[in-house]
This record gives sequence, structure tokens and C-alpha cells, in this order.
Amino acid sequence: MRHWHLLGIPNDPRILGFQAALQAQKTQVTLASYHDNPAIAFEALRPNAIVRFDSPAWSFAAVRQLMQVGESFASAHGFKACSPTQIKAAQIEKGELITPPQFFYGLIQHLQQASELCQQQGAQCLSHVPDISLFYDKAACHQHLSHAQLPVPFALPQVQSYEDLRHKMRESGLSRVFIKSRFGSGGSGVIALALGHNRVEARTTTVFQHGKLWDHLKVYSMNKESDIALLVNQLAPWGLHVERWIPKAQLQGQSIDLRVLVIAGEPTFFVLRKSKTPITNLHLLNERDDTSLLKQCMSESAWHKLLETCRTVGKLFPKTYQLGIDIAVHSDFHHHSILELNAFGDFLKGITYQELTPYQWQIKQVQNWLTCEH
Amino acid sequence: MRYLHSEEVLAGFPIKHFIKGEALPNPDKYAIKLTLDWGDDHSFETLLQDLLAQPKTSEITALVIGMWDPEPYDATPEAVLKFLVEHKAHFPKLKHFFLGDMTSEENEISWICHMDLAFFFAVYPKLETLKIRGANDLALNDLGKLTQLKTLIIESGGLGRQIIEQITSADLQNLEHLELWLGDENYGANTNIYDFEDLLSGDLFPSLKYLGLRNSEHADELAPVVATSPLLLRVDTLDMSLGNMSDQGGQAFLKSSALGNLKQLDLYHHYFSNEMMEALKALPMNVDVGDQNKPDDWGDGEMHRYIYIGE
Repeated sequence: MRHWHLLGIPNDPRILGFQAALQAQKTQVTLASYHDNPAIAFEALRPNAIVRFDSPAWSFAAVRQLMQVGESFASAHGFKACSPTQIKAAQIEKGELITPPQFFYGLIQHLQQASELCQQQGAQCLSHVPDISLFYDKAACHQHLSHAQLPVPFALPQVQSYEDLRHKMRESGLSRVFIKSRFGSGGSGVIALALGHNRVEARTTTVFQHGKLWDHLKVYSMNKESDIALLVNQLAPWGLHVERWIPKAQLQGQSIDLRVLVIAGEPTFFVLRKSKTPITNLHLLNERDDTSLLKQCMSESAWHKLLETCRTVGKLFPKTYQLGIDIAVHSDFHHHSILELNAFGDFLKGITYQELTPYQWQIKQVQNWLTCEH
Repeated sequence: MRYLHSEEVLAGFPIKHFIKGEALPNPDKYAIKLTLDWGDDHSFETLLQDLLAQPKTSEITALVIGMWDPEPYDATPEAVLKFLVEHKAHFPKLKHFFLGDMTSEENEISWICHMDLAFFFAVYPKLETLKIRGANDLALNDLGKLTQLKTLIIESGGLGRQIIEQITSADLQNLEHLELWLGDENYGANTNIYDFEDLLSGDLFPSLKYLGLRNSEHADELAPVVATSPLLLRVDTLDMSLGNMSDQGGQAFLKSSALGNLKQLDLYHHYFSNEMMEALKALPMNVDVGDQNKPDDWGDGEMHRYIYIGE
């Protein structure tokens, strides 16, 4: 049995869950913490070990630390940056939203170092840092998938401000869009905007209050254009990615989308997410349900096309062992669009394939995958 | 959430989409839905033309019209309806019709644009079910032409009083199910209790079995006039769900001696106290008091109670 190294936050349920799944197989496992410098965290790395990267988001301390690491990179790329003092003062624990690009660059920097250490010591890594970087950058990811002829919503060219947004929407003839913070995760910094005759309606999980941006686990409605403009303009310096609003299929009056976990190139686990609001991300305490409900409403060919899309995505990233695809089936139950890709999207409870959880399945299949050419 | 199941079924027929280039779902079994997706590279008219070319189009009894324009916020269904009028010979069995089956993600219910449907009624007088979502600029002149109409449903975020007048001036001897979503003043609702006098007099619609005055922001004012209506002596179901009813409205049902033969009283989504819920449940008919809500305190001295679907 090969030794495993897990990079993550030691008390994160993801890490505990994966560790337990390995230990049940009597596999030896070492934890590497984001709290430590990669050189220290991977000191005990054994040659021939298998390395899995997980999310740092469980720890606010780790998030802050990565933001600091990312400061110079974010500035160099032209994003508004926050100083270490600002990062320290920010009430991230209470949902304050700050500087997503800094977190992004810090994370990629950290993973890059970790990945180099793995390579030097002959360990095999289940992630490919350029892929993670692409998945986290919504604009780059959209472009990549679009070039590969995969179904993605139409996106506006880079939007700088609310005024610019309105201008670009008009030029493209769009009246309904999803505005996303380019490096945001979960439902953070997402605004669903609809324009009607002399009226606007926005729904968002992010609000601007007391001079700061806050993420809440709740969807707010706004219909004053000046409020919406203010919110968009606060988010804009950290990068925006704007797409056509895809009306999602509804079941029992709730909007749905799918999280498909692709492991070793094969769509293996499916979670149907339901929401009373258009923002269906898992973080928002939305319900989950059985995928068969959705399959019943789709023709067999439409479902097969969806699976084919997932396989094609898998093939685009052969060096990535697992990835989570968020995919929307349109309200006609026929077309589908890829909404997002997730590097750390496999923490899915309560689903099994051949009686194995996503973690157990990955552990079982890993040797096969590692022996394939990548 | 059983209250929004409706879009999956029309008049008992499960709704299935007709996809361009694919075979028509069996029209004996399904309500056929036509809708435009932004991923489609054809127009609604092309979809309709394609429908006409299907071998079993003349067997369609239930038809559902969804997004008639990929950017529907300023487009009325005029072109679709004119097409159906022009090609009426292709739809000899059409009895159940749903216009505007759009979700809130496709278009807000109060943004859906409608028009006067009189010209459509003149050509399809045998409709038994008419369901409409949205009420902006909607008019139901000549509704009385639909002499066989059994079910009329208008789901809206704000219903204008002229619609009530147009309905009550139609002589619909066969109408069994009348369901109106009254909505919010901010989205076009302007009815008050006097607008329902004719309807509640008990003189109209002799076949009525179900009366729904749903999604009302004046549920408390409406409850006493509904609860004492002679109409209740002959309907089975009274549905005042999805509104903002509080104990004040609930009291009207406890006090009423006119609940007659009512078998079902539907008050789902409300602002009742626990005591009121218990008292209502003790009434002799089946009472649904699901989805209890608490008023929002904005600190402006007024407690805010919301209807189920506004916007």
C-alpha cells in the first residue's frame, strides 16, 4: 500500500473524512497543513507517496495567510489589494468579503511550491496546479471551455463597472445576467440581475453595508438601481465575470442544477441541488435530491449529451484526478450549460456509487489512474 | 412546495416539451409544451411550423406555451396566438391551454406581457381549461364565448380589477374551478373587496366547485366577505392560500355560519398564531394551515407580512 499525504486543514471534515476512508483501508496517511510553509508541511513526504490537495477554506487563519502571500501578485495583475493590516481587521468570520484575487494568487503560489516539492521527491500528485488555477478563475475557465466548443453561457467581455455592464448588456442584447466575482467561490459575490421596462431586479447573497461587502447565507432582492450599481462597483475592482442568466430547469417549483463529480475522466457521482432562488450553490443550505427526478424529465439523448459533456471536460484535464462540474439543465429539460468547475468539489455527503462514497471510490480507483499515461 | 407543482401538469396531463427535430411526445398522454431556449438557433415560429409537420399534431388536446421570445420582457404572445388562430384546422381537439408557463428565472411573473385574448377565444370556443401566468395588459373580453370552460386559472403577481369584471360578466355555466392570484399593489394589483361582490353573491357560475382567491395581500379584509358568501353553500373547496392572512382573517372562518358544505379550506402560507392554527384545524372540514410565517419587523413601527409570489 502506498503512503498518502493530504494537504488541507487538519480538523476540516474533508480531511477527517478522507483520512478515515484511507485508514479503513489500512493505508498510511500523513497530514500536511496549510498553516505550515510547504517546505515544512512536506518534509516527511515519502518518495512514491500519493499527494492529494484539498481546500484551505475551513480555516480563516489559513485564508488570511494565503491572502497575504497573494498581495503582490494581485497588485501586479492590476487588482485592488488589501494590506496585511486590512486583512487582519476584516471580519471574515462574520462573512465580510474581501479581496478574492489575493486569496486566489496566494493559494496558487502555495500549491505551486507544494507541487514542486512533490515532483522533486518523486511523489505523485492527484492535482495539477495549472488546472486548479483555471478552475478558480471563472473568466479564464469560461474561455477555456468555450474554446473547446463546450456548452457554456454566453459571457460579456471583461466588465469594469456598472455603467460598463449596462453598456455591454445593451450591445449584446442581454436583459438577464449572472454577475460573479471572478475569483469568488460558492455563492459569494454573485448577483442575478434582470432588466425590464424601466425596472431592475437583482438577487444576491452579497450586500454592501457599513462601507463593506458581506456574504450572507440568504438571498436578498434589490430593485433600486443605485443600490445595485453600488454593489457591482464595489465588486468590480476584484474582477467580474458576467454571463447570460441561464433559466434553470425547475422541479416542484424549485430551480435545480447538478454537481457532477468526474473521477479519472468518468462522471461518477451526481448531486441534484434545489433552491427557491436562482442561486443554487451548495453553500446556501439548499436542498439536495435524487438525480433520477431530473432524468425522468429529460430525454435519454439529452441525458447522454450531458454525460458526454462531462467526459469531454474530464479529457481536457488529464492530469487532474477528480473535478466537480456544476452544470445547469435549461428550463426546456433539453439543453445544458456548464456553470463552473471546482477543484475541491468532492466533499459530497450521502451519495454512493457501487456502495462507495466519493472518497472511497477515489481511493479504490487511484492506482489504475496513476498507472495510466497523463 | 406542492403549490407550485402545477407547471408539471395541465388538466391531468403531465407536461412534456416538444423539441425541434425530435418526435412529438404522445399527445394522448401528455400536454405538449413549446418554449424557446436561448441555446436554440430557431425562432418560435419555426418551432410551430415544425409542430404542424408532425403526424399527430391534430391529436393534441393540451398545449402549453412557455417562452415565446428568448428576451420576453417586452414581447407579447401575439405572434404565437395569431399562428394558432391561422392554423386552427391543425388543432381540432385542443381543449386545455396554458399561456405563459415561464419560471421566475425566465421572466418575473409580473413582467410577462399579455394582451386581449378575445380573438383567440373566438377561434377556440371549445376550451375547457384556460390557464394564464402573468396579467400585465391582459384582457379577457369575450371570455363568455368559452361556453365549455371548466377551469380558469390566472396566476399573477398583481391582478387588475378589470379582469375580475371581465370574468364575472361572462356567463360560464360549466365553470367548476376558478382560481385567481391577486398579488401585490406594487405589481399591478388594484382590487378591493367590493370588486368581488358579484362573484361572491352566489348568483354566478352555477357549476363552481373550487374557488381560489390566492396570493392576496388583502387576505385579512377579503376573508370576512368570502367566509360569509352564499357561494360557500355550494363549493367544495375554498382556497385562500399563499396570501398574507393573519389571525384577523382566520377569525372570520371561525365565526362564519356559512361554511356550508365546504370540504376543504386551504390557507397554506399564512401569519396565524399557534392558537389560531389549532382553532382552524378544529373546523369540521379539512383545513390546510401549512407554512406558518412570522411578520418582519423593519423597525418602522409596522409589521410586514408577505404574499407568496410578488414581483
